[in-house]
Amino acid sequence: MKDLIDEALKVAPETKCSIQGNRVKILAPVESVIKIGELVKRYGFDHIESVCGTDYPADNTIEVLYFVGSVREELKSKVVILGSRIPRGEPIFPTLTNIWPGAYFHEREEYEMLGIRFEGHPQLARLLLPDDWDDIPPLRKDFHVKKWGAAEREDAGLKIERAVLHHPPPECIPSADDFKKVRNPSFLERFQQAFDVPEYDTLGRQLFDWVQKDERTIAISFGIQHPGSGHMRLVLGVDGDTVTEVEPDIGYVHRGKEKMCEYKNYFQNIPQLERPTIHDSTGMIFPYVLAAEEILDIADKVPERAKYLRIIMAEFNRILNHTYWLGIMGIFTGHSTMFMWAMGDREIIIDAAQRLGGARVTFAYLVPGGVRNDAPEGWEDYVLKACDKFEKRLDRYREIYFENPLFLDRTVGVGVLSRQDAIDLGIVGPALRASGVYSDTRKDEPYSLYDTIDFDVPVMMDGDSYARCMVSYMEMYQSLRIIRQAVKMMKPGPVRYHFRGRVRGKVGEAYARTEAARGSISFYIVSDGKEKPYRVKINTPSFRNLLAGVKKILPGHRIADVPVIHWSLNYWAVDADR
Amino acid sequence: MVEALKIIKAMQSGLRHLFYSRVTRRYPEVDSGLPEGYYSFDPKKGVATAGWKGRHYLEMDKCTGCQLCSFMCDEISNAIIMVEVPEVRFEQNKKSLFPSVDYGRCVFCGLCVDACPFECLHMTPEIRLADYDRKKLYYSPLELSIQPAVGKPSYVVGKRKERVEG
Ligand code: SF4
Ligand code: SF4
Repeated sequence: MKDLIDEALKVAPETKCSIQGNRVKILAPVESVIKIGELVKRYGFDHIESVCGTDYPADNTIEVLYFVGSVREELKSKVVILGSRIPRGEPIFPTLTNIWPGAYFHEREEYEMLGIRFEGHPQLARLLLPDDWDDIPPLRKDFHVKKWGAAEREDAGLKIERAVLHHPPPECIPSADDFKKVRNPSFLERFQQAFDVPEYDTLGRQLFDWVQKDERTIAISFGIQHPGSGHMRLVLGVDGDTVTEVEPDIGYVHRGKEKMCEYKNYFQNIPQLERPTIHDSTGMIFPYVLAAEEILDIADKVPERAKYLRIIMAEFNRILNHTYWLGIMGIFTGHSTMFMWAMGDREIIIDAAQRLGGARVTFAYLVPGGVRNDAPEGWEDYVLKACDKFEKRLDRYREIYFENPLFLDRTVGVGVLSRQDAIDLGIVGPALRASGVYSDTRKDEPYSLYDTIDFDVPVMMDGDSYARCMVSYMEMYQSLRIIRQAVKMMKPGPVRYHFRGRVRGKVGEAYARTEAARGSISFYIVSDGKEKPYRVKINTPSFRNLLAGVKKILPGHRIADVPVIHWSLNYWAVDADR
Repeated sequence: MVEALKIIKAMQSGLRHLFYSRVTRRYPEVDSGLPEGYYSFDPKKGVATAGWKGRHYLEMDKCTGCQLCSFMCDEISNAIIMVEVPEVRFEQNKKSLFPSVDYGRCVFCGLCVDACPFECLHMTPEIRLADYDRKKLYYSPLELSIQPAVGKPSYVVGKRKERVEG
């Protein structure tokens, strides 16, 4: 990596470079970002993992960082963090979509969240926020969640006060009448409102224009009420029955997780962060916990047993996610038996997981410093038995589903994603491995003792929907294998680092990535030495997969294939919207 | 022909299920098979014991009214409200401040249990909390201190303290 830094310094001598483990940070002046970007790409870093803007009102700057990864064998474990500081008043940044096409949606998100204008971006438009958002960009530091809307709430007469000490209990609860006080327009008023809708240049209208290239094309909405779309919409341009152009419209379940993180301390963040993907709740908080440990300076103090318990819980969640997804895939291909079986067999794993985590879906089991509790007595045997039982059921899926000609007809050769496209667009997870790329964060950059465990990464070369289903299916076998090994390798011992006093982070930043069920997921945390993080950037696999993937894959397919392709990418709207 | 055979094979595989025992449980009549223990936290060791995270159980004779559980919950779901219960007086809790939980908001994460330094807040396997009235989801400290019928504590209950008269 030294040679890369030397070359970067040759291009722009005032570049600031630092190497921290596997992370190389290159902070270049804004004029030379494109040149250094080309350099980094030539060096072998072929896809964008994340784009993150951080607002620093004290210096009056915004820091824009591109996290660039690679699928090459020798560079897999490394991440180049390339970025620059730009003035806050005039945040203009050259787009890097020409170098890494996968940055397309990441840049649109940062444009909306921080108001950074990416010069040269093909279609710089809004993405997640509501169409009528007219406030300042919400991830700027001068936007306060708690102050926002306070006046409006008061006007509406909806003032739910936080219960004050010493008050008698029943008054603490807002009654049904409190909610009725919200002004409810009469029928006539509503009728009028329907006619004088202000002329917003709404994103939806924009999307329709984008996909309607010529007169033969009709723009139709796939979602958001379509049962197969999830909480999102695909605006399809169709010529007859064939899709010609796609624009995803997401953000219907955007909750502002990144902003919410800035208001909670490192522990309070855990329950809220696992909400976006409740099937894979541990997969979602795993990288957060790793990054938080780096910030809290306890990364080397996590006990070994805790690391194994984390692995087991993460693999449980991988199975839970894949079975759920497989069940819905069954519905989409008209095979409701698969749905019933997958939903029923999930219970075997849920039962094992709930004995450890104490809940059915959101375990909140991982915390910075270890795990919440040790396994109960006799749990190891229970898990091994559950694994055997589940494996037997998995074998049956092959007969009824994966070798079923009805399923094969719907998926084989449908939605092919070529290897090169998958890499360029930054696709992750089973979708990437189904396109013939051997890339799994558990192997690339082993975390939490995954390197002591022997497992394989299933890879298929076809890149079609069938390959994506098959890879996920085979991953479940590997997960069982990992769980069995981890259970046997665990030795008795402590499971949690015991914090004393106030928990404060050190000043600095951490970027951690892990392999969640849907693919590589990463958290970037900036800390200013307080109890709460200064900035948290969440980069989820769904966001990378659907947004980049659908736009590339869908054109050329029939409308009837849209749900199958869409779901074979294992997309989860809440995961993408955060 | 091969296709048809494969379809028949798949059907055969499904038909075998007619002779399998049922996967679903008849829930209210048949026990759900949940773990029995309480989820409780040992502040000295800094770890919890595995258990089902259902409704809380508050040991009023140990609670000091320190509000740490409430502070923890404030930014999670704001479910814990500290209330004064004048009729209950213990020596360690001069102001008679106890936590009450609004289960309309609680997300059952159990981090309030981890925050309690006096080992008096636990979570129990009682999970059937649904009600028609939102107000019934609000559990006062006295209601929380009733031990639920299901489950048994996995921690050792210390010596009970006497209630101070007056
Ligand atoms: S379990 Fe979580 S949400 Fe519920 S009261 Fe405790 S801290 Fe609050
Ligand atoms: S339950 Fe525990 S943390 Fe909460 S007020 Fe009582 S002693 Fe303090």
